[in-house]
Amino acid sequence: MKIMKICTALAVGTIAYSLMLITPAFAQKKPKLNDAEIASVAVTANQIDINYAAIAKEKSKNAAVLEFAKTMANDHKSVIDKAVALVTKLHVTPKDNAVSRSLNANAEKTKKELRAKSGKAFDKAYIDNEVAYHKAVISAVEGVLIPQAHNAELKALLQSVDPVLKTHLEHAEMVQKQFVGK
Amino acid sequence: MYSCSGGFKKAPGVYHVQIKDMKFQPADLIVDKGDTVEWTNEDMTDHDVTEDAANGWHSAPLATGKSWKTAIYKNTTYHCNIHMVMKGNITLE
Repeated sequence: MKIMKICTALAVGTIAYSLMLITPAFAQKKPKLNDAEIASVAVTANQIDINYAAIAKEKSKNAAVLEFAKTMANDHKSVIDKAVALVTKLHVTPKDNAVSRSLNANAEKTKKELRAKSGKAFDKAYIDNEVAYHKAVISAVEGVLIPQAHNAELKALLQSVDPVLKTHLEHAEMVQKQFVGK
Repeated sequence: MYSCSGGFKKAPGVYHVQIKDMKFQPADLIVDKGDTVEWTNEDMTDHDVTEDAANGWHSAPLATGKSWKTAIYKNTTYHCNIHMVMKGNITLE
């Protein structure tokens, strides 16, 4: 089933040895989100990747990883700025919910695991997580957020973010090749 | 334009490439030598255009709505240096 595939995708959306992920929020019966909650999830998901990029900027010395992290920070900030502008225009206040809370809770665990690493081990863990995280977010955007968005402009914004996420995934996979077998 | 040697000489053309949905559109362009290609960023993220060849042409980062152009004198390939997986080709007729 589509939802189980999303849950599976989200379940592997982290660095390999992490036990907890985004799974809890999406692994229950299909979450029903209203537009305020969708906006909150969208902003949260983007902010999480900005936070991961900040750790990479602090810890990595690999040029390709640093360039990638810089792009992630800038691009996801652009998405957040667009989302905030839209919800302001629509007089919608993003509403915290079980999904956004679960995203944040699992991100805290991932951040702790990343901070515990250094050197090439960190670089590999960071980029592996970026690949997995973007796959999970793409699945959630396509499978839950876009279909459930009611407002046409919110739906259009989410649809325009989808190619950004896919390009990020492709870029992350390209950088990941440096660390294959290491 | 009428040239002194006789006959009409075609004025250099201008081709437009949209940077949209994380792609150069069109990604493959055929132009005449000396034609200009102008790229316009229609995405929410910054992009640039960077010739693949060493010491080639390149734009500064382009914010949403910004454009950059250059004249083309040889077959070339290029990419976005911010999103390295975005690529384009320009071929001379």
